Amino acid sequence: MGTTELARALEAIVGPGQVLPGDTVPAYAVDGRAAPLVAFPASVEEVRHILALAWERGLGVVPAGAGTRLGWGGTPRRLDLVLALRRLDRLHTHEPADLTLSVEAGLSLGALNRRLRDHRQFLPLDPAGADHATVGGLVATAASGPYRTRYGTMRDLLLGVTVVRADGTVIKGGGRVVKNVTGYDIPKLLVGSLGTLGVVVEAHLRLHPMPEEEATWAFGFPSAEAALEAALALRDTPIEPSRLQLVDGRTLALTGETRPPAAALAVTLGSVAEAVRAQGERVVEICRRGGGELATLADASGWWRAVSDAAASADAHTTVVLRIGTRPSDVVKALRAAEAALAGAGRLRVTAEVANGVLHAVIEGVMAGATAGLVQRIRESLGSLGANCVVEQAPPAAKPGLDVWGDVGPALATMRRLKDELDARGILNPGRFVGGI
Amino acid sequence: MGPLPSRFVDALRAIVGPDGVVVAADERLVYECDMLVYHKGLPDVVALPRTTAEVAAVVRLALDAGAPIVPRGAGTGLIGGATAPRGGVMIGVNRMDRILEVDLVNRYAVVEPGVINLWLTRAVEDRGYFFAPDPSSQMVSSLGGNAATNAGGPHALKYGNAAHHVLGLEVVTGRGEVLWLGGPVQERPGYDLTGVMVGSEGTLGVITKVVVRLTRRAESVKTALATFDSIEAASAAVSAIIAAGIVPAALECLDEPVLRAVEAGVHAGYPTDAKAVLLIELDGAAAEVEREAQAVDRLCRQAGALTMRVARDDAERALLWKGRKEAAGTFGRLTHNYVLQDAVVPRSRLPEIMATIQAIAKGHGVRIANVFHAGDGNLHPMICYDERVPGEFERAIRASDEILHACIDLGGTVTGEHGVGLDKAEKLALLFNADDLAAQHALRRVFDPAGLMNPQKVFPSGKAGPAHPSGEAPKPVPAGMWI
Repeated sequence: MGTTELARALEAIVGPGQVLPGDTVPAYAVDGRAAPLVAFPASVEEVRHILALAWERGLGVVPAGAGTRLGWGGTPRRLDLVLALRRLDRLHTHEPADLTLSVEAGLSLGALNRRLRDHRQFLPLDPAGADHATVGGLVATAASGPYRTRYGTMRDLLLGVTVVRADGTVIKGGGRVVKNVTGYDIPKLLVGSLGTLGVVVEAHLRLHPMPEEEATWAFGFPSAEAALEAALALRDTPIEPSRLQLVDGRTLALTGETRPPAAALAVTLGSVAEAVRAQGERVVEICRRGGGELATLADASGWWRAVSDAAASADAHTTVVLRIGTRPSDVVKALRAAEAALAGAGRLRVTAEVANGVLHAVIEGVMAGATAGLVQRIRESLGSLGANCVVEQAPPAAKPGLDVWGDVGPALATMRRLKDELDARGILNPGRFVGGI
Repeated sequence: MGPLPSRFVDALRAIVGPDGVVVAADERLVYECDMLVYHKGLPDVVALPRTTAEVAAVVRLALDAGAPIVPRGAGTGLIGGATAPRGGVMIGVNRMDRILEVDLVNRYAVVEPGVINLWLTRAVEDRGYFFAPDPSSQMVSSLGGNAATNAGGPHALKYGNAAHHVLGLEVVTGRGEVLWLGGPVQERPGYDLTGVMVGSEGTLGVITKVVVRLTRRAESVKTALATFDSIEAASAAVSAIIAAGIVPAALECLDEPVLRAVEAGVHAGYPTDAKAVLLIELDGAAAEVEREAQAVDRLCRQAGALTMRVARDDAERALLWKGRKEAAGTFGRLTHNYVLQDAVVPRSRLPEIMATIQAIAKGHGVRIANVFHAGDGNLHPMICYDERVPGEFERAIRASDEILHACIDLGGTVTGEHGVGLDKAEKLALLFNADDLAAQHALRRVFDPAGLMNPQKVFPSGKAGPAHPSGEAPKPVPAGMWI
């Protein structure tokens, strides 16, 4: 079946003007390659019909939200159609008194949280580019940011889902209430599955009340080791920060810091004003004792945005972005291991969510041809820590053949069986997930 | 299946040793049910392995023989989960009871599945840490069982069910393979198989190790008791507290019949003249707890609270909790028998469902007592009956079913923390259609293609079963059934 004929069949489902040639919508290019077609369904029914069609014809389908993380995952083995869900953007129900809501997958986090603001509630996820990221995309990628320290990830917030399976069957899993153990936890299965098991079209979510006051303290340290030491000391107290982020000097330089220290530790507290003040004093005391020097942040939310954007500010053709998972106490060891493996082959800067042991590393100035070898060396050097290393972004020219996920161990066979059970024809994101799933 | 051949038992003995096999009928009797005693199913043999390798060998032996495999922790479940309706091999993990590793810097512990929930907290509390899931059975229930059933408890309101506290698992799947899922490193690529395994009630595999999250004790804790002249008023207070954006650590409700039984049995200092009380615990930063306590006080009084009492010290707090946690043990004072429901409603609908429950009680001529996790809408209505009076049990079951339907009509769910097991397998169809269930069956096939892992649990059989599988009136529920 030719592209024109497919476009016509899709248009019969989604209506005129809602199927576009991929090269006219660059936001939906996958690893620099445009899909022949991008379809924009506006309802669950339309998604269902599109997937039924794709299933029947064995098309390679890449589900997408706003396209902010289409660089994640391996290069698709087949790419016939991008299924862009941004028109599924209705907020079905918000129950302020239950701190829950039901929302379609294509609504952006920014739009969602703006609508919740009047109720002083929010969905506490803050990965890079959070404003544009869609709810469905956040389920598929499980992307998280510094707020993970206190609020966890999508895994902790997703109560239930409506999913369109690869063959077009619509199913639901989980529920709408905050406590539920009925049946298998389908929502958790979908979190972080990169759209390979089904297309999430609706999510039921737990919300959190916004704290009355939120304040951030930043401390400069002579080394990343010293900053981590202070962070761990802070963690061994009843203080429960909302963010506990280690930021290296090179990242600090991008926030406008002219003479950045080797590393900084940024601590956010959210609570009632008196508690923020009282615990803030303790934070200052602990960090000073660890050799930290309190810096003044004129605009904390602007500073956090700058730190978050720093990852995205590099030249895509020569930049590798890694997400390293390790134990909290090992984040700086992981950093040193990455540095050693890099051996000057690029410029490294990092931030780390200490509490969850997540290190985000940006390496600039990497030649496409050197990427695979570099990633391999870093993985080897992390091996003794039991850490893992996922490539979130790599030069498009380096992507084909690059194992962006790394070895997930013996459970891979089970994951493959799962994929075979839920998408036997392998039409959803073929080749983009772990082990080439 | 028929009785297992003696060479099967010999092979089991060779794996787990002679003292690890229970074959005598009278010794197997304690394994025929969990705390929900009216679902009975005697395993043909019970194996008590000590290591993962032994569990794997037992599972492979059973798979080869086509024998059902039923994992069992402490047997304190309330859903007929750890019972063997088709006979087969029960694997009791009680002898696997070591805490293998505690890492407070990284806030996790690695334990064997037979470790008792409270032991873990006892092992780390002097350093200021605890294991958050606190089912009322926590002094006797196992961590493997807590993980398998995604157990909750009063503090699940703030801290979440077991799923939020299990970082990784070692399991022997229904294929007989040993797999590590997840682990101390929280961020990792691949499907969240840990999340799938937690709450799967032994239908996907046998849990042989658990990596659990340890939580730091809050700076301050405040526990209060509010009394009300109706359960609707207490429920309205709960809804108002949540709506105000306050998520207490725990928010429990006990009604008058329960209060009387608890006071008579435990002497927790609960008032016996109130129609309902709320047990409210706030924890967090000291100033935050202080402020929230004021707000809770105001909201309770606005909802019609008669009195508010804040525990002055740890001893008084412990006593208030003792009353709640041991409530179920006092129910014998209240009724000869009861049916326990574990449904959930959106917490904003509590006043409504409480009125409905009272109407249902009246309609069926049964007494219903309530002690429940009000803050997350997780109800535990206890429908009282006397098995000696013909027709009472049937009426109690009908009332229980009607309550469940009413909860689901309000947007709720079938089970909030106890699980599905044998007891609610048929009820799954109230929430999930054939397509929804087909996806769950597909998931099961991945781990258990032979369908031998804990058969007849969780999934509806496809035809409506009798409300009461044995057709006989259930036995009295013993004291010490924990909810």
